[in-house]
Amino acid sequence: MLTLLPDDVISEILSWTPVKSVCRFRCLSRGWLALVSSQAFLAAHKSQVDPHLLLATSSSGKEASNIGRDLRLFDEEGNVVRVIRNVGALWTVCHGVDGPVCVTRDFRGRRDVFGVNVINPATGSVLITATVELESQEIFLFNIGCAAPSGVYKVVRFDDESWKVLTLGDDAEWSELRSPATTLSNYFYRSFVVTVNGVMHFLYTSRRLPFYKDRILRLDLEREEWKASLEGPTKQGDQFQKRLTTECIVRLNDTICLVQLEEHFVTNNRCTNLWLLTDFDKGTWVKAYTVSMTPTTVLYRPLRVMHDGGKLLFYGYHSPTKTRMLQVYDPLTATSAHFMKFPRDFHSDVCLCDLNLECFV
Amino acid sequence: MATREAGKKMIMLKSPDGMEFEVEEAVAMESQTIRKMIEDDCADTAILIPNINSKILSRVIEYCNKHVPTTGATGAAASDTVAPAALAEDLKIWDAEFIKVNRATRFDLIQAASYLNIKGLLDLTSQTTIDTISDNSLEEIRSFLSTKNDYLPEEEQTIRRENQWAFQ
Repeated sequence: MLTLLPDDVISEILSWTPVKSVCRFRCLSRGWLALVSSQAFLAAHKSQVDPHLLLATSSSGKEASNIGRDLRLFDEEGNVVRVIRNVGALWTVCHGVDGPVCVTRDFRGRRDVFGVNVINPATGSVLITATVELESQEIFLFNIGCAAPSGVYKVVRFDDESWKVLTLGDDAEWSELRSPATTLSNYFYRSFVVTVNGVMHFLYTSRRLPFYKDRILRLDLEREEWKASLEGPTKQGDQFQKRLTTECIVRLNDTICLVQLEEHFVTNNRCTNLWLLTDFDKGTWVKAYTVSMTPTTVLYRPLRVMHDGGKLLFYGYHSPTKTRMLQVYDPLTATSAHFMKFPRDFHSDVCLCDLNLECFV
Repeated sequence: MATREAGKKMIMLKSPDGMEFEVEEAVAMESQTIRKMIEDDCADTAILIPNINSKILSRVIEYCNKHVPTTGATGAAASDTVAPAALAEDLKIWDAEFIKVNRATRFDLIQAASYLNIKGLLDLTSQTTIDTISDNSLEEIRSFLSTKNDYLPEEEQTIRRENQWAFQ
C-alpha cells in the first residue's frame, strides 16, 4: 500500500501521467520507485503517454572557442535543460536499443581523423568516445546507426566505388562491404539516411525527370548485409496538372516517413504528403497526412505523431521572417498551431530526442 | 424488474450500509461493471455494490445521472435547443463543481470509479489529483498521499540528484 489508494489504482493513474511528473514520484518512496520502474508499468505508460521531448543542437563555433563545441538540450518550453561541453558538433540523433542518443563529431582541425561521442540525452553522460581514422583526406559520405540486437554503433561510408563499415569502439578498423545488388545507374543518392530497428535505409531518386522514382536501399547493420531494397510510394502524378517530388525520408515514431511535396500548377496550391512505411518487408506505404502549405510556411520535417488525436509535431520554416519554428498540425481541423519558437542562437541543425519513461529508469 | 415510467427500466443498487438507490438502467450502465452484470443477467432484483458506502454511491449516481447520454422525449428536446458544444461546456463546469470535495472523498471516488469502471469519472478524479500534486514539493505530495518516505538519507540524495531535472 503506497498511500490511501490501492496500488493498482495508483498505477492506473500514473500510467496516464507525463514522463516528467512520474520522475518526480520516483523520489517519494521505495514503493513508488518500484511501481514506476516495473516492466509492465513502463510498457503501459509508453503506449498511453507521449515521450518527453528534448531538442538537441550545437552551440555556435564562435562562442564555444576553438577547443570544441557544446551539445545543448532544450525542453518544449525552449529552456536549456543540459549543456555537455566540448563534445563537438551534433552529428545526428540515433536510436539505440535503450532509446535515442545524441552523436557528436569533432574534426579537431584535421581532415583525416575525427572524434565521435555518443551521449545519453536523458542523463547527459557520454556513453562512448571513439576516434575514427580515415585512410585518406577525401571527403566521404558518412552515416552512423545502431545495430540490433547487439546495440553497437557502426559508421558506414561510401563513394561511387565502395562501401565500408566500422564498429565504433577500441581499435576500430574499416572493413569492406559488398555493394548492394540493386542497380542504381539512373539514381542519385539523396543524403537522407534513417536507421530503424538496426536497418539503415538510404534514399535514392531516379534521374529521369520529370518522373521521379524512389528506391530505398536497406543495410542490416548487425550482419553487415544488404536486404531487398524497397520502392517509394506509387505516384499518380500528372505532369501537366501537378508535380510530386520526394523531399526526404525521416524517422517518425518507430517507422520511416517519406516526405513528398505536391504542387498544383493550375491552382498554385502546395501541400506536403507524409507516407509511412507500415510493412518493412513488403514495402507497404500508407499516406498518413496531407498538410496544406501557406505560400510562406514550409513543412520542413515531421518530428512526431502525438497520442492526442494523431496531432503531428513538425519542424517548419517561415520564409518572410526566415525563422524556424515548431508547429503542431491537427488533422481534424487541418490547421497548424504554434508549438515553440527556436531560441535565437540556434545555428546548426536540430534533432528531436523522444524520451520514454524507460530512458530515465 | 421494476418499471416506473413507460420504457424506462429501473435498477436497484444497494450499498453495504443498507441504503437502496433506484436508478434508471441507462444511468447504472454508465458503469461498465454494472453493465456487464445486467448483460449477463445477474441483476434481476438488486445489485449489491461492495466497498462503496452510501455517501459515495449517491455521488457516483449523481455523476452518472448527469453524464448519461440524453435519449427519449426529454433528451431529444434538450439536444434540439442546445448546441453540443454548449452542452459539453456545461458538463465541464458541472464537473469542476462536482470535484470540489475533500481529499478523503476524492480518493473514495477514485476507488469507486475504478471498481465500477466509469472511465469519465476516473479520468476526472485522477486528473484532478495529478494536477493537485504535480506542482507541489515532495513533502507536500507525501503528506497529501499519506506516503511514508522510507529512503535512507543517502539513497534519497542519489535519487533526487538523478531526477533533479524533473523538479525544474
